[in-house]
Amino acid sequence: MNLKYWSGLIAIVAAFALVFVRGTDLDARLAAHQKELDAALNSRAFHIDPAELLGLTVNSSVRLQLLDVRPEADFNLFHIIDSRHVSLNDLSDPEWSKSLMPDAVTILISNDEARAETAWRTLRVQGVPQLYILAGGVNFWLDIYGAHPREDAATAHVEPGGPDTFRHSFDLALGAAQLGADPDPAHTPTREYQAKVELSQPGRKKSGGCG
Amino acid sequence: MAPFDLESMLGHVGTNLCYVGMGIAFGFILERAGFGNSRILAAQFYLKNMRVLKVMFTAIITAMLLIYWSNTLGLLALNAIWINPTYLWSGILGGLIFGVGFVIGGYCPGTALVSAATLKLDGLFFVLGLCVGIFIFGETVPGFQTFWDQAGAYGVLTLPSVFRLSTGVVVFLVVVMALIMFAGAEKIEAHFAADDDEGERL
Repeated sequence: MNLKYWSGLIAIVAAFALVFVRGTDLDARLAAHQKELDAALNSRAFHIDPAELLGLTVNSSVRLQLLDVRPEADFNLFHIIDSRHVSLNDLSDPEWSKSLMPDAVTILISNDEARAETAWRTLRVQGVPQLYILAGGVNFWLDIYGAHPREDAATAHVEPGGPDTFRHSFDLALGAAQLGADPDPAHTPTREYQAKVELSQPGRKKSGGCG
Repeated sequence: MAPFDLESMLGHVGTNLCYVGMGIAFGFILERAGFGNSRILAAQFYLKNMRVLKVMFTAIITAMLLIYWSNTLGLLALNAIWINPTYLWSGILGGLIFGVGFVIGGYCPGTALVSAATLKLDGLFFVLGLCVGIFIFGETVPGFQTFWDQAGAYGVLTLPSVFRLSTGVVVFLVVVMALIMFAGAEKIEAHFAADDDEGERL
């Protein structure tokens, strides 16, 4: 048979198979990329300081999406303003991850870091770009910007490896209405930090080309 | 997993060299396909030589199958690939201007560069015209910025989302459509070639 007929046959078989073949499941992807994911997280290149996040929240040129992956009860007690509660199960659904804004900087938030790191792995293998973790989570955020900030708030460092439980207590479940949910950068301790978020938002129009 | 962060893998210079290499390879393939010849390109519009349609659709279905199979096998993160948003009306107007220029000049921008690279005079003049056109567009775009930037802005549209079909079904239908077009293109070529032969005999 002529080469062009063979090529056509291969194309039609490959396309037909695609109708029935399911994608590699998430667990397999996580296992396949475990080493590189571990290395990326251990380097802490994707853990951003609370002060960097605070700067991003007031930067109108940045599209920001905050995903809070803590248990819903903790989210109801307190959450950073404009954050959205998401369960880890939702993140495992590729259809759900398509609902994320592709040109936004995405910040994952948990009480400490463990759940956010799990979420980071899950979204990373699904290819979500510009994905970061709030260093120290909500606990560290409240240590600095909460109603009772620690004395060394300007210089305190995160100690990774916390149990990821909510250390702070609130009488009412007021969510983003609590003190510290929407801090004013002008009235917060000035922290020095290493900026890690790379703002590489794609332009609206990019050229195509017919060749 | 692809797409790879070339800047961190190869550095700035290495990344740019990689882009140059891809550009040269792309141009070489276009030249080998005969796309550096304006007569072959223009013949597409007179239905006498369907090579443009065949090469372009072969490239489309090859790339489409490779992309979706890579994604299915976990080698490529599809949602990390930029998809151009749809600007319907500015796209239609731009397409008409592009098409008229293609028919008159015998080249599109990429093939004009391929032709110019082989020092064909018509290609060089087309590239000159292209530069003038880019300059005029750049200087006048503020006058029609709203139309250009907002006319028929539908955001990112893909065939699976428009037709509410699974990606696999859409890929299959596009491949079937392409194969039918290839078969039809051969018949059209044969028909017009026969007409030409008859015309020459008369």
